[in-house]
Amino acid sequence: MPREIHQISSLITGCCKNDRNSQRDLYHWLYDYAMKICYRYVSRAEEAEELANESFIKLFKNIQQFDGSRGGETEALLKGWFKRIVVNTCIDHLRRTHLKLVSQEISEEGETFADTQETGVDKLMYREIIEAIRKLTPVYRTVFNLFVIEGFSHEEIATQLNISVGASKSNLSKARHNLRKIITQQTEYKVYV
Amino acid sequence: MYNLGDDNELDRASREAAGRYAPPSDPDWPALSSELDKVLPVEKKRRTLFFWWLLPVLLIGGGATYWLVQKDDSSIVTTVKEPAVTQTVKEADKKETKTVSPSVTVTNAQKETTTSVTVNIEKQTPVAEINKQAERTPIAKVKINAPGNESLTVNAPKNQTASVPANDKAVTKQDASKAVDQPAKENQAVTSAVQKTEDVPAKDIPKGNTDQPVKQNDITSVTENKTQPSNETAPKTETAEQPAVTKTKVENAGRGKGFSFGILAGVDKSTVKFRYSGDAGVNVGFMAGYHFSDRWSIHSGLIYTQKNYKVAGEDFTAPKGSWASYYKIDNVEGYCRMWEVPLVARYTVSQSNKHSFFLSTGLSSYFMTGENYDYTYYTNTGLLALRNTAYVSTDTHVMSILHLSAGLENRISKNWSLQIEPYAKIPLGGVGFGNIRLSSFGLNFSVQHRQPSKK
Repeated sequence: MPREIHQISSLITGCCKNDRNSQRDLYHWLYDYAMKICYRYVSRAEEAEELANESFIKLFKNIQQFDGSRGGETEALLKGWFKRIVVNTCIDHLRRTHLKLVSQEISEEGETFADTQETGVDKLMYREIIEAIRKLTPVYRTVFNLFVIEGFSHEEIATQLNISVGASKSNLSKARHNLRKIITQQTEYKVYV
Repeated sequence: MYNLGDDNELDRASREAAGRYAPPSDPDWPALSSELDKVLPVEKKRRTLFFWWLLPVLLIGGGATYWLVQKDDSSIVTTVKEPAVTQTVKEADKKETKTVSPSVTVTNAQKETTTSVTVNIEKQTPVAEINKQAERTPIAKVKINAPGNESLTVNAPKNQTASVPANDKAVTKQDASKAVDQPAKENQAVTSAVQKTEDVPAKDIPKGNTDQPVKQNDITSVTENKTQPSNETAPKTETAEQPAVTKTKVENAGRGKGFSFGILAGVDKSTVKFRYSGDAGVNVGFMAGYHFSDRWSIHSGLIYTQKNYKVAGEDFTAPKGSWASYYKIDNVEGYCRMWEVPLVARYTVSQSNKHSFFLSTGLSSYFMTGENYDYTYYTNTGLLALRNTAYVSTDTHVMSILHLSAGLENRISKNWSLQIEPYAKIPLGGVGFGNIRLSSFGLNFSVQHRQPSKK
């Protein structure tokens, strides 16, 4: 049985030559990956698709800068490199549209939840968790995504979003708080304090 | 089981969800492609560039084949010889015995009848009279006795004492029922038996032919005359040169045993159950063969081929576990590349000096190298989506394709020939990632070198 192996190196070479077929193949290969990221940063699916396409255009325009000869698998390197492109694209988009509300959200007083209670989150489907994240406000969502899922530090987040480290930590705390609240509402699970 | 109240648990659940959920969206390559056309315009490559080498090969091959086919039998070299006519006249008996053997060598097909047309002519006319008659008339008429006591009149030029009818058909078949009266210079394929007689020394002429009148119905071959022992020399031998037209074969059709080698290029059209038609593919490779006889031979080789096709979803069976197996496929369009190793037996149905027609059958093996498919499939929401997947394949399908072909071979020299060979490859099993039953039809042009015959 043939293995489903994408010939990444040849695709990258083709993309460097602005070959449409290679670009198409790479696009189909990375599309889900890009959408998984974009979908978490924005609340509308159409918006996520636009961000994904914008990310691909950046990828194809700058793919000559990708250095696949470093140690490690080319596939993992390319995905990591592309992930940064997608995340930056999302952040740029949020800066333009939503992050103007950053200061306001920082000043909000969040509700507190008991951290020790076991919830029925295991019963949630992955999609529901993602939908809950998407229901967060843009700033909370962005900070939560960057810190929890992308693995950014608070310093990096502060740099990326032009906020202070303290504001980043505060936003993350409130994001978690609100996320619990949303998940609880989605599952109609009673939380006992 | 997650503890939502714990930050770490919440983070872990979120990370897992982010990695495993599937966004409800499908790729839209046309939209992105149009965007790319704006920011990264591409000069359209001319598709013909890939086939730049194929076009001249096809043109040359096709042209050469056409030229050779059109050339027909006139390609046989025609030479004019001046054969000698041997006349043996025994003055003592006042009889003239002309050994005129109008053996006709025209084509292979008529070769067998050549020597049987020898006609011994007994003529009661004295030599002097013959000579006189020959001098008097530009064309001397000689009466040839043929079986059935029917006469055959033959013309001869003025300076000859005998001539041979040029009508090969009439003579070859010994159809003496027709009186032939044609000049010997008639431009037809005739080798006069006189020419054969020329090679026979006068002393070898059998005594019976010289000493005794030959009966009218006597018809013996030159060969027979040659084999009859005779130590006598004819009393008088007149030899006259007679122009005759002889067709000489370029070469013999039969070449016996030996190997052959050739290169080929061709076009391939593949289909699955004739539902869709894809672009034409290409074949390039070489073949080698061993010829057991003029008729039978076996051939094998290595052919690199790309087959383009479009398959209906129900004819495409994706392996279990692959993503395609989870969706309903509407159709699959793509190509596969492979090495093909045919093993075929060939029978030459008919052959002439220049052309031969053959039939081949056998089995082919496919050694896949890669496949690339555009899947048009139904998403879970019922919408049609397009997805491309490339596969590096190492599938082998040994002897799983039935090979049928027929071809025309045109010999361009003693050992070189051009071949044009339409073929059909019928699947005996599924091939490739989708286990498809791929039928192929095409046309191969090849140049073949035949090892010099070993007889």
